[in-house]
Amino acid sequence: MKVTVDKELCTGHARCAVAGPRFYSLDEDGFNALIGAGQVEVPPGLEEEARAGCRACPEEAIALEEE
Amino acid sequence: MDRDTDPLSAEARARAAGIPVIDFDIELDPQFRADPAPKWQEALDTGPLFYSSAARGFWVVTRYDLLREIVHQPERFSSREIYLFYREPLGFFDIPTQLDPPEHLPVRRLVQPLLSPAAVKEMEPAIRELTIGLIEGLADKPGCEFNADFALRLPALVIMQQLGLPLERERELVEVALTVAHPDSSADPGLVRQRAAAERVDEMWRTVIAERRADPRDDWTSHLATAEIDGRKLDDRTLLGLMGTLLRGGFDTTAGTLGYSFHRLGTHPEERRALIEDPARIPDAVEEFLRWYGGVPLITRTAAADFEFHGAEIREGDRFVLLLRAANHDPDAFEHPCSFAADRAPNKHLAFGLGQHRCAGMHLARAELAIALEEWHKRIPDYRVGDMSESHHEVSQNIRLSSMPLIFERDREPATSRA
Repeated sequence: MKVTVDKELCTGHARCAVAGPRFYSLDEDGFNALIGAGQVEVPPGLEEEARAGCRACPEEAIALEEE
Repeated sequence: MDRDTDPLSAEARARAAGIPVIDFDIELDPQFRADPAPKWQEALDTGPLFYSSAARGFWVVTRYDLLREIVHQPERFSSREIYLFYREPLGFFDIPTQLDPPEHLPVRRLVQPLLSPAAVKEMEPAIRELTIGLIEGLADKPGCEFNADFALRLPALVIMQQLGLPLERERELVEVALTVAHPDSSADPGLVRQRAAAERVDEMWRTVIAERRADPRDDWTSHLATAEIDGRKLDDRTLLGLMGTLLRGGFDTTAGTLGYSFHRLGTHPEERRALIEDPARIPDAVEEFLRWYGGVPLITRTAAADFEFHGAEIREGDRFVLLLRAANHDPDAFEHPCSFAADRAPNKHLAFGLGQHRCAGMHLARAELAIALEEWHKRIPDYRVGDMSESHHEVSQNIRLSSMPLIFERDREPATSRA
């Protein structure tokens, strides 16, 4: 599973880090820390965290690619 | 030309496109004061987009997906006017709320670090201490007026502390700032009092800003009064707008949500008990309180160009009211939107708006709500809502209960002591 966070859409609601805290974290301004990292591979076992964070984002800034 | 017959009027354009036209009068319809919930539902039922002939006329957007579409097109939908559903244009200059690109982002960037999740985390011990102090001052009493005694006080004291305002001016500032935020032309004809209050707030800020520029301290006011964008300090108008917005946005909105949340818990003891038995549920419950009772029920936009939007011909200057509260009950966005589910997940409510203008204070508001719910119920777990016949809903661009008596039921003996 791969995740991409859209820099333009993320405005720092920080809901991803609440819904999927083992996968998502925030940078010091409160934006998704994966911004700028391109497409990121989700480590095995954290798929549900990645999905939960994606569903929690009101900006729909997180794109998931299931395999 | 008459608005109904002018072929160019927004109302005529709505009719021509087969879009419903109703009288959705947020400023004066007494139903909003009595109980706004049916009005939000009426809006949802009328359609995703309709036109209100009330006041100066405005389009109303009720659906989640349409709202998203609008806020992500700032070049078409300007944020320049707020409170635009009033008959009289109001002299608000909320900053950065009313700024568009490219002016918006540099000012927003000054504020964002002050209210980041990390900054709020650092504020939490002070918020908790304040909260406990307020609750302990009430716990021995037979009850309280929840708004004046707690819901307004907690966020007002927190924001005043951060801004560096003298806390002994709390009552005065709260009263004046509420008069500004809730223009009520039925009780204040011509909004004379509202305008005078706005002037008083600006006057206060002029003094404080001058003091902090001369003698900076470690507070938000000093930081913002001396901050620079491209090597220049903010001009006076921008700075006054920014400080006023931080003060009002800092307490009126959170106070509104706090009042409604405790009303909900005071009238639904089983929901209250669930939170008391398992405080770990509080953060999720806060999100559901926000979905139902966010202190900001709507935001506004103004068309910045002529364009077509979902079949409607939009002209530059057309006014838009985006009903966050209706979109939070959009059946396409939320399962069983009309049931209150304290453990709802996901809960992508729009209580804080979205896009570049989403509430900068959302993390602070969440922290205050969660801390208040935790600490209150440790000390005053049993209460009910008293006589609400004197209370009404104050609905403007913010929403709150005008008053709420809470009666503490401390006399009930614990079941075990009766053995």
